[in-house]
Amino acid sequence: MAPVVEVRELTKSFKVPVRQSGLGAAVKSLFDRKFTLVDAVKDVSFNIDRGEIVGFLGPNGAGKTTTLKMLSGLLHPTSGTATVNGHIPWKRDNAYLRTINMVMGNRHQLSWDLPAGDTYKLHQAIYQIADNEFERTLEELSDLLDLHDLLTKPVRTLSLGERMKCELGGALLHRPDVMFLDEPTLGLDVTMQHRIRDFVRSYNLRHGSTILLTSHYMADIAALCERVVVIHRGQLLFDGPLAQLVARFAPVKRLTVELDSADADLGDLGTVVAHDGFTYQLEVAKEDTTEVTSRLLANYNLSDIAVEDPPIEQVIEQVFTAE
Amino acid sequence: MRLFRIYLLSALLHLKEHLIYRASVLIWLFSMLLEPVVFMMVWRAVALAEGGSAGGYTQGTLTAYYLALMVVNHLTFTWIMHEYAYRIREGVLAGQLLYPLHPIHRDVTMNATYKLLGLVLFIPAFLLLSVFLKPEFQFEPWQVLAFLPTLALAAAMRFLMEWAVAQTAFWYIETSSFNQAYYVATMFFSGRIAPISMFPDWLSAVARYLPFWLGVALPVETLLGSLTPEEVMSGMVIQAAWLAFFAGLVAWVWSRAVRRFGAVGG
Amino acid sequence: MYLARVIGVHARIGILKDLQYRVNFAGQLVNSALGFLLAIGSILVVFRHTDLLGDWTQTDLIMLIGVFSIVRGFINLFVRPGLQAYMEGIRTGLFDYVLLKPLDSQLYVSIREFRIWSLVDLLTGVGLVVWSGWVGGLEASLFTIVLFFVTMLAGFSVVLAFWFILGTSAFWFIKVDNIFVVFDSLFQTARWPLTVYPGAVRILLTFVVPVAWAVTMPAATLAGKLEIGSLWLTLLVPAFFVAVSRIFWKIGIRHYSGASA
Repeated sequence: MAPVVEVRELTKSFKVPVRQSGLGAAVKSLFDRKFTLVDAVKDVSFNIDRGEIVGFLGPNGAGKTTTLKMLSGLLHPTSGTATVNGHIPWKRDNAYLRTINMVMGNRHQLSWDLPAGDTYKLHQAIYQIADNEFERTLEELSDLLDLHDLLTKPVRTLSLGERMKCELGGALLHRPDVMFLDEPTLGLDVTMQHRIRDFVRSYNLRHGSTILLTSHYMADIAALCERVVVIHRGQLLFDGPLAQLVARFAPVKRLTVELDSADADLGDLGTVVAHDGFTYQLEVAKEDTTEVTSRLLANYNLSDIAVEDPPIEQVIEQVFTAE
Repeated sequence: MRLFRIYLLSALLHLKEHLIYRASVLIWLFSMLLEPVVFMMVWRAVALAEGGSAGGYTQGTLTAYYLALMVVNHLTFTWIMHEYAYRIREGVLAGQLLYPLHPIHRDVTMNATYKLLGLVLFIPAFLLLSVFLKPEFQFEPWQVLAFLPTLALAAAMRFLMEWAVAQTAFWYIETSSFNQAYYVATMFFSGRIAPISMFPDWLSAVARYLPFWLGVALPVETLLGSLTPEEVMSGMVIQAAWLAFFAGLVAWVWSRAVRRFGAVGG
Repeated sequence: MYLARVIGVHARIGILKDLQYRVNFAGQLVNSALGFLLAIGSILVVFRHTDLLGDWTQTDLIMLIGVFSIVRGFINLFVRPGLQAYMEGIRTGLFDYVLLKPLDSQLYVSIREFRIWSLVDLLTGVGLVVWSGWVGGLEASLFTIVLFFVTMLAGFSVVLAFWFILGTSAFWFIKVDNIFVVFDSLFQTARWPLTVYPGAVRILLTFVVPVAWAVTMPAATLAGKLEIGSLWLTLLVPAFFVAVSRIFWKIGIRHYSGASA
């Protein structure tokens, strides 16, 4: 089966004006504005199959959102090609737009003063959804997202999380095959993040829609995405299963040991990253793990030992702060 | 001395600000320029239809009137009342209240620098239109001399008047109707629709005592020589009286406004 | 059919929204009344000194003011709020959601917002036209009336296209709310018949800034002043401006980079 999303050497550069402070500079910039060219996305290529949930990782300004925006037809790339569902996104054919949608966690499109249900009617008209189909979809989404009571209240009276649920519901009324979610859980509390995550997963299972997701919260990515794409400074750094990402970028293991002494010096075995009472946390190079473990067993009175990968956030942080 | 230093520094700051928003500034200036030009064309058409003159004005003197009015109106107008509701709503005013300085000073320098900058557009426009439309100016030295104090009084008086009007935003957040009423009044009575002598006599007689006419048309007519020295003198006296009145009004309204602002919050 | 439905739903939403802010209705009434006071007052002053302005009588001019208000009502009903929302959207990034919708974005922007209270202006305009026609003893043939609607439609298209040409600059300069000021000041020229302006300015106000033309044409049609020879302009000028606004829009969208991601 051909991939739903095919991206080849996608590049987007922005012209950014350079402005200096001072009256002289302000006057000068009237006549002679200086620009620098910034590559937001550079030579990015990947494929995505139908039904996949793919997480985009990267620090702020890495180019995740820019990539998503090009795929949803909002931005024209500077060079490179992409097809989604067989369409070139930035041609913005109505036929294409009917099969996708995008939700941005920091931008809400539902009318502030009116209940979400009213704005849904608008989407129905725009996407030409037949009445019975609209009812059916709305019913299903209301069940999944628990919207029933929310749809009749003016949006301004809803909490941020409730609003996000309504936004998601509205975005899915026309049953898009491909969804772009840009920071869908931004600013939500932990319970609400869970709700949204559960919803995305079950929606994906039910309808086999392809979902491209960016999030600051590693938990979102870890819970939803088997596959991650790491973008850093506009370039693709990694594309593959989440577990592999850790294996590839974290050449260390983390050992948590419990001893009978609170002042043991484990410095010669590895790096002590935490020490609390009888519990010690050590980081050791992956290939030394077996050796260190046996030395610990031989030389200390161990009551417990656990060997783990370092936390994923930390791995990611290392990737991004390296260089 | 302290105030002078503050004025100088904040003038530099505002000048820089205006330059950053140069596109907006240019647009506003352009719209200020267009209004008198449209009325000039209407009245020139009237004069032409009436065989060269209407209400004592010829095409040439009408042109002179409106060209002078264009510059004078630019030099005396303010936009504060259109901004004040926004300032209160968006917390700009709350920020200003933290300074140990009356916010009016900031508006003085902001206006002054804006006007200075505006002359960069208005003087060329004035010269260009003069070349094409051939205004008839007859300057007597005393007219030019008297023009300057009437202009200064007009600017100060109008500034205080509009600053006082702007304070209504403390009581009515929906100020657009009030501002529109003020606008219509100035259009009629300040000589922007037509030189005030074109109105019925009783109306123009009343208008000469109103701050609208005194804030725009008095300097214009002084410069053009359509007023006698006695009329100019009495005009200046009335200007000064209004100036004192509005200064008092600003002080009074402001003290109440601040109290109200403190009570209801921004 | 599809279009009618989309417009209908948006109008409904607009009405629902506006009904929540009934104060605006009072404000609109006061503003309209003051606006008419100013317009009629200016005409009265002018006609103290002449009987004919260009070849327009006082009643003709009141009819012109009527057409002016109809056009202004049309603008404020959806053109201005639509473009305002669009510019706001460019700054906040909400415009992204407009581009995601499967219908022509330019069309969508122009029908998206609807300010019901602006009907006050529009209806008063209609009232003024009817009143001046009645007072002036207007005897309009069916042909004239059809022609009036055609020129009115041409006027609407020209004004809409002109708004878009101005508004499209928001793609390049994010801070252009002052476009409204540009339009309003240029629109002042439409309060007076084109014949008031000297030849060069008249050409400018027809082919470059066609707002005065858009108002003068329908009024001239009703007042029996339309030269049949200039009728071709009724098709050409709107066609030209609509085409230009279309091209601008397309280029603008290509250039659109979104509010900082």
